[in-house]
Amino acid sequence: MADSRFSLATAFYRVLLRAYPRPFRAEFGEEMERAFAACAARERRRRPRFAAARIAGRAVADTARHACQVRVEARRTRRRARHSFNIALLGPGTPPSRQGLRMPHLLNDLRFALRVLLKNRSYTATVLLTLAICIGANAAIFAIVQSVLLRPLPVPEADRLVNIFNSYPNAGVARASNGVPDYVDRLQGMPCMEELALYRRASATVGFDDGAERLPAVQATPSLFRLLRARAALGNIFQEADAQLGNHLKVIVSQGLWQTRFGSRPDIVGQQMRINGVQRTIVGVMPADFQFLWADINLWTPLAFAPEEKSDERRHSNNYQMVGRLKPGASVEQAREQLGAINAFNDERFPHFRQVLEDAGFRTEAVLLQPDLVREIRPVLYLLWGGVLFVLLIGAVNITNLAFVRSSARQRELATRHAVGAGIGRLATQLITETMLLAAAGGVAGVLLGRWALALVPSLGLDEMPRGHEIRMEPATIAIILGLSLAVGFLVSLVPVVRVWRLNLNLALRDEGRGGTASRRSMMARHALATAQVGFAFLLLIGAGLLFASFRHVLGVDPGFTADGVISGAINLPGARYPDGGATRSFQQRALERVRAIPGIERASLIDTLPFSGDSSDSVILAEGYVMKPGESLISPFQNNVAEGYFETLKIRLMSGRYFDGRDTGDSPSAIIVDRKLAERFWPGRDSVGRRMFTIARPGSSQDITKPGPDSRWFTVVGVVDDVKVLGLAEEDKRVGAYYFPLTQQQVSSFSIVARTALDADTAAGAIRREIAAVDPEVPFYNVRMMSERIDESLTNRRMPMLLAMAFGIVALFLSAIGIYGVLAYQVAQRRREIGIRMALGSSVRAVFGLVLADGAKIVAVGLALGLAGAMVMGSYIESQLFGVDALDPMVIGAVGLVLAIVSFVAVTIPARRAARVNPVSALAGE
Amino acid sequence: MKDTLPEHWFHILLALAGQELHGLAITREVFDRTGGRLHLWPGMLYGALKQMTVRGYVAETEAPADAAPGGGRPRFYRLTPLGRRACAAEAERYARIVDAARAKRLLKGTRG
Repeated sequence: MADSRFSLATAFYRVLLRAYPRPFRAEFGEEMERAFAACAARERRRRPRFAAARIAGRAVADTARHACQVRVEARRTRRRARHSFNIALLGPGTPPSRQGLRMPHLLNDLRFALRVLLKNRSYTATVLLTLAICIGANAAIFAIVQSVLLRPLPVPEADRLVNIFNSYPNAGVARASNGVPDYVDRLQGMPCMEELALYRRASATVGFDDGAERLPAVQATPSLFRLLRARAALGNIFQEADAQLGNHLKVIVSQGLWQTRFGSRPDIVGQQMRINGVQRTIVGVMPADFQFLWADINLWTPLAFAPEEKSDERRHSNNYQMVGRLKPGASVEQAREQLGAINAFNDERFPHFRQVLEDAGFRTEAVLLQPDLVREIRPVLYLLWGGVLFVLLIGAVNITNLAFVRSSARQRELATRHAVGAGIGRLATQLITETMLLAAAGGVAGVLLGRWALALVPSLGLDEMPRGHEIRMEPATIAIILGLSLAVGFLVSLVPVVRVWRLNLNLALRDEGRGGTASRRSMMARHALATAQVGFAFLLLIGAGLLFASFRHVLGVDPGFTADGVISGAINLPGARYPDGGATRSFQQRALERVRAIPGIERASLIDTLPFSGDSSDSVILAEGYVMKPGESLISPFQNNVAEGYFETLKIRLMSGRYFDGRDTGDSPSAIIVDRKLAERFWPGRDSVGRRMFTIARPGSSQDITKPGPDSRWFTVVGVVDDVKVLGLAEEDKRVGAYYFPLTQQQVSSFSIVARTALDADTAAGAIRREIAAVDPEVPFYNVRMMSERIDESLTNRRMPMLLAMAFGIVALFLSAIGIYGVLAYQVAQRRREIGIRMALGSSVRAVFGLVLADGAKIVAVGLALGLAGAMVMGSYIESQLFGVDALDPMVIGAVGLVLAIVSFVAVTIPARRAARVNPVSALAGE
Repeated sequence: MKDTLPEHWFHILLALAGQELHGLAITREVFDRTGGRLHLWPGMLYGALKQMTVRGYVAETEAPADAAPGGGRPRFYRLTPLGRRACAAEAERYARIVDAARAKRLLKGTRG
């Protein structure tokens, strides 16, 4: 296999070598082939994934650039040489030698092609437009696919990075993060890892001279920077010593922050910075191109862990993401095995916990980071890629049809040129040159169009998707797209070339195409092409229709609260100034009072993990007296802490009991409100209010942790509320419910304000910000958004593919309609005589009309059937992207089928009417 | 030579300084020396060798008797005195830039 690939690559490169002038090729060709093989091998070794595509891209780019240079250079030296030679022997002005005659051939062809194309403006314009649209769409989608799915992460040897996370599928948490004890274990127990790091995204309140600002930050173990092979642009990355408590008050800033906030001062290293109320020393500035997962990070702080954080007590308190770098040659399977061994060892150490973990389905996953990052967007991007290739296919068929029509119109011209001595090969070259010129122009226009489309990325919300900020069009992408365009051009140009080959001088010169009989075969071919077009268009439209229907279903999902008119924003109290529960509660109390007093604000409240903010928190809880079935897992529902009035503000329905109110103070018995799902699990069909719940014991303890222990906390259910969507409208149904604690009984320093208001967003935000500042000017109010906006943003990943698919579907619809029209119109033109005879023999206008219509109907019907068959195949690919609609939903298929049929019908009636208007006399006489 | 050399020319000349090499070996040398940052693809390499031959920076030399890696007789190149001067001038230019950068303390503490 390696051998065949090798020879294929060599053959490919040999073709490329043709771009160099012949003498150069003779001199270096063989060596260049060998050098290319070495380059290819190196590239393959460096990163085996998609190596072939990358090698091809590189080779084409390299050839394109340097062949031009070599040619220019060769020509310059040749001219210089010839000039001096001529002057020496013959004097100036002598015509160039024979050798110089090679080039003009191609130049002549090009010049002639340009003239022909300019003369046939409508043909040229149609082909160019079709190509530009199809190639443009392909360029844009391919650039996205390339940037998001294919290009490695901007980290050296990114294919060795592994994402590691704990998973408790039966507890409702399939992707948890990692705990600190896990990190300690794995540093020891994973010899396959070169480097392991914990990190998490956070935001930090930074004090500047002109007030506090909330900036995106990352907390990470110092190993993260080594793992990423990162170097500081200024100063240093974190050292292992920076992970020691007491030594950890350091910070690294981004180049952007250094420039905007520190005026690029060179002596920044060693300066102090106030972050979350604590002074930290700046140890380094990261270069502008340093990024890991997020493009907007301004600060990095080292993670330092206290001994109690590393203790067994904290097992399964998962708070950090983990990334590892495999040693060269190590595999993800090895990593999984070693993780399994660590977990098995811990099972032995904590036998009481073993059954619980087993029931929860606990395991630790290790997956390659890059594919994992884009796992959700991958299927939809591939679908779109497929769709856009179909669009190109449909466009190419249209162009082919046009080429058919034109080649028959030119039969005579070509025959004449052949008769006066142009060889078949010469004519063929000429025809190919013509189409290739068009294809090249169309390709360039398409790339420009695609780039323009990519500029719309932010407005489509595309940059919100994983790696979305890395989307750009690379030279390799451009080369591939141009190559695609030229390939299409070449295939299309084969149509007239084949006809030239079959050129029958006699027939062609006498008169162009007598009747339709001669081209029966090509007629059938054209019908087949048009049928295929309809099929592809139908398939695309079904796909677009399904995505559209899914989107509507998602929009129809009740989030469990009323988002309209609710504004929300985040607040974070710096630990240094709000050290205890008393301080935070007093701030919350005062802030809420002031916000509620704002005229125009109806209600306001607080919650720690706001729905649709991307934040969520979950924790295991059990009900008193609830008997678990053997093998049943503990569950870890969403946990929220809310202030009084939260449910009322968001209009979350009360099912029974009461909301939190003034009775739930810091001194009253601990209260809890559960959602419907949780109530039904623990007390199915019974009243839940008044029942007691408890948190489970710590993993380190030696008792049965599913029974209440001395360190369990107890809560009394005071109410049941409706289910609320937390992560998104189309949230999977695997979630296990939610419960709420009153904020007055907790210590929470990071939370959101929600307020129902009739004011517009800016006014309300401004007013709230002023009131917060009145309580404490150093506490920023940030990430302010209407709840409806948050819901809207959560739909980006669905809206963007839907809109794109619909755009492609519409383009396909019109292209295929034009295709049908073109085929039938040509057919009518060719059959004028036949139609004339029919009419002369007494055929009615209606019958002639019906004749053409029947032809059209056949194309459409067969096309629809093909499309339907395609839809059945597509079903399994698109299913994962659908919501509330079946992949073969009859409504969707019927509706788009109808649209396609109507548009096709219109396209068919135009040539049909033209046929019906044929005047038998002129048709028969005027041949 | 007033105008500066293209970067890959400079690297090729550098590779040839002090040893005679064939194309593949030049690629390998440059690749290793730059830590994989500069990967000379055939067009880039041989295009440059051709042009530099014309300008007289490099010249073809006799292949050593023992050099015949896997079929074919590779062309060996050596640095001409002119090429050496051009390369040295370029290195000089880089050195001045590095000095300037160091004077502005851009290089302190990083890769010296």
